[in-house]
Amino acid sequence: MTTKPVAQGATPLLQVDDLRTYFFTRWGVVKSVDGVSFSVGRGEIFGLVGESGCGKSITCLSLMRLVPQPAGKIVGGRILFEGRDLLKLGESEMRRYRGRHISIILQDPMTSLNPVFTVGDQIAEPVRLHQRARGRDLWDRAASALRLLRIPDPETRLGDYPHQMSGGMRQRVVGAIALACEPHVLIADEATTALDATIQAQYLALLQEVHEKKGLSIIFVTHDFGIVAKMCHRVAVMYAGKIVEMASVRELFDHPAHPYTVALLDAVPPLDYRVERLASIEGQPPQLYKLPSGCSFSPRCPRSDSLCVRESPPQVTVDGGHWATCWRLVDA
Amino acid sequence: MQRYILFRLVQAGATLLAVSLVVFILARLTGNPLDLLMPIDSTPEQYAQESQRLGLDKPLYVQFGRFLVNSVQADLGKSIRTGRPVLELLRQRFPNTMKLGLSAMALALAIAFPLGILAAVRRGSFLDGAARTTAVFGQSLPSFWVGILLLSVFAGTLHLLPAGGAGGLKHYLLPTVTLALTGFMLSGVVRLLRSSMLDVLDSEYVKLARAKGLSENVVVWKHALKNALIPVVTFVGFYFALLLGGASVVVETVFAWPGVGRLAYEAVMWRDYPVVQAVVLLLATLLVAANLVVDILYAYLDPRVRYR
Amino acid sequence: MTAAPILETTDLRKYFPITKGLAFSRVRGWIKAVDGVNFDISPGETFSLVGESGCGKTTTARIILRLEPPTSGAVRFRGQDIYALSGEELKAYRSSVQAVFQDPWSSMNPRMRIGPMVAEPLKYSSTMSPGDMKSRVAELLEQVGLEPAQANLYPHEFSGGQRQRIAVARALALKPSLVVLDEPVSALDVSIRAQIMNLLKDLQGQYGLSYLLIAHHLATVRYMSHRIAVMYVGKIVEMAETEELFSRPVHPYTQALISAALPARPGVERAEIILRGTVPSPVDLPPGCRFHPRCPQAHVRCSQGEPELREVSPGHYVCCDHC
Repeated sequence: MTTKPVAQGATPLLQVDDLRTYFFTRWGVVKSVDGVSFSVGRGEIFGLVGESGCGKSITCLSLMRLVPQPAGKIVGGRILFEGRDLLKLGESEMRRYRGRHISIILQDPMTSLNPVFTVGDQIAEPVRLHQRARGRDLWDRAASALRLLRIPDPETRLGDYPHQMSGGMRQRVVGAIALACEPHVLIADEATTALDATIQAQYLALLQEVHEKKGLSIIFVTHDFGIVAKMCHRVAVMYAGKIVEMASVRELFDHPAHPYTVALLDAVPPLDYRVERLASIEGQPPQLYKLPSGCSFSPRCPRSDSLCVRESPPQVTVDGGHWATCWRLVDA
Repeated sequence: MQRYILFRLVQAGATLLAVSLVVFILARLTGNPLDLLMPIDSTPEQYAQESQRLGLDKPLYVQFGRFLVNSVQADLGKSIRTGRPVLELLRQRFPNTMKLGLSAMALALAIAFPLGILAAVRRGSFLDGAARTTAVFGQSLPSFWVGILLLSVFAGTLHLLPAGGAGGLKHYLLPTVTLALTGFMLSGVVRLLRSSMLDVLDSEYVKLARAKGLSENVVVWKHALKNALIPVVTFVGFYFALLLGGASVVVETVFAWPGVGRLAYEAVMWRDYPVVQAVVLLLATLLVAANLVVDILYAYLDPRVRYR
Repeated sequence: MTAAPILETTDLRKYFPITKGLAFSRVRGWIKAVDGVNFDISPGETFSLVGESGCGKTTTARIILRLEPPTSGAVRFRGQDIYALSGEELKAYRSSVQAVFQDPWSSMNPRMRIGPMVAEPLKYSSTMSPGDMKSRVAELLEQVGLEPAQANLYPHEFSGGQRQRIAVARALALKPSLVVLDEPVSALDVSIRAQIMNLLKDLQGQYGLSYLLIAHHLATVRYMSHRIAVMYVGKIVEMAETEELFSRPVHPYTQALISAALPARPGVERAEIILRGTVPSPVDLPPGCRFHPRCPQAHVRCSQGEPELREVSPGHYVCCDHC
């Protein structure tokens, strides 16, 4: 059910070109997103994987133009949504995209709902705003959003406050808010990380169901290769603000080319078979305001040599849609 | 909820009882009022007679017991100095204090709310700096000094406003401004609102509210403000009671405002026990009542409290 | 394993009262956080308690660390009831059993240098000279893969992974025989988790440590453990050696948990068992087997008697009467 290939249309739904989001802090310029390009097709599930601080969440917030102000700023690139550059829109035009065409589910269900408003208020809000629904109609749509996320007894639940629900239920409410206006792109930013395993499985199955029913495109932002393996069609691996490798999921797992991807895959303990000893990546991810010269991964890379330390690596095509930025690609 | 309110009322009664005992004893530690009241050439017999008339010759616990029994029957005794019933004095003076306190609070909040919120929304801007400076100034300027300064400028030099007393709107202006600008009502709310607003604006649910496509105004005034108000309400309720009690003594004295603050000041000067006791008891009641109101408001603002 | 267990729990229970009323509170019910837990840990063994939030695994660990007295039941360390210890014996227990928690940052004084921090347990429990203490700290830091010179730094100068190494060094200072690891890697980045897990395994090999691992992530547990107990709402529902548990899970909850775990690679086919509903509250437990309302194999009888842990094959225990 998982990795069924998706036909890439002529124009992707969302295309990101050379996106750069920098933070201007007193320690210096933090290049959280530094020349990121990718595209997401209609009905595609795209994975953006990386460790904390690699820039994956800031990439997502950039897509919605919600980068934390005033320190953060999108300083370059294009974000084409159905051919229109979102970065060229005025703020009020941009607001018409948020919640309506592009939605987001955040990580922590305990903090992403406003504690002083009812669940119904919070779901109805974007519907009233974008679809101009009112009264009975508004309430029905809010209830059907809850139904879509399989929340039992939705009409009653609308009147509940967030603290009256369990974590898993709250995250479904967050999902219902995101999906209430039937967006084209859903960004799931570590959306299931805080959930228990069986609740996570329920949630992923739900998203899969909505994806199939509505032809929704989903961007999964995660640190967990398991989610990528289970849910995604294509995947990009980020390290220190850049995408270091991009491939279809099957290709990435079968023939990882970037040494970081290889090391990361080997560092995850498998559930389905026994390993005596995990390979581990030595050292720490770099701090973004003092990146090493050349390839950012070179200080931790087992294959790095003087060239890697000196020069930024080129983007090398491995096979079709599979590429990696590296001087010393791992032979697939 | 009813059980809760009942419990809080019992608690409030106990607090007031304790307060009245403390005040009763403290007032009597300052000395005998007859030393101030009696003509210098009074004989010891006259002294003893007067003492007996006022009940000051009885043991302390008897005096206290009588005070309690009478208080419960709304009889707060008579002023030792003027002989008028204390209740009447309070009834006459308290509305003045209340009016002054309310107008000062209204002015302080009218400035503090927009200032605190805007300071948080435009963190690091000129406005933010100005708000913080205002706050520091306000709480460090003593109210008697500001009061006298305003008096000497507007009443003294410019002859624009009356120098004291209560009367028309003009009389309100100077004491209201003094009470609003000094102390912690303005500065405290600005700082508290700014910091709680910053916390809230940084929260995940505000991020999610923005991601819904809501305008920044709705995000700030609907989603953020209601949450940010929760700590502010506590402070305002509590400080309002303090304002009526503490700050008004100074300001009412400076502006010769006929309120309970000045009444208290005069009563202390004359060791007028019944009046001091009554005023303190009134203020303690206010403080307790303010706390109760705050807790109920809390339940309105925060559903998590409501359902507990 | 034939050696005498280093630690043993018998019918451990921890009930927290739910009180109502403000002035004169009455007990209205009980949260049965831990509800009759039996297990033992052998010397040199990693024994894991795995389960979802609220299953009682952390409370069990706290009881063992003497942070929370049990409502009933006993914990025996080398045969002695740990809640009957006092004086020197208690001190000895406290140095033999140490802990490493999920978030090392919260257990560190931000104004204290790493050296004194690691040396702290030594100060309370031994009479070492300052020179000896310093060299012991250097040795400990090296054991966990840090430089002895880093003893002069403050906690904020380290990354999350390094801080966890410091926490491990501090736990090892008194040469314990049992270390309780409460979610030791779940707050860390993927590339750092393997480092810490390997470190813990190496230290176990070197010093013959026993570990009690508390975790929710099945793959971590599989990698680290010799034996595993799966907990569900205060009870152990299945207990077996690692390979046995993963190759032949018997309890429907264990099966669901394994099926819910994410695959390591695409195309790994798992039986799809999506459990209905959510974990019941430990206050209003369903009658009979506490898993039966969510159990895909539930039987009418499951709502009647409460099942007991029984041995289905040597060393493999299951708390279910119908599987």
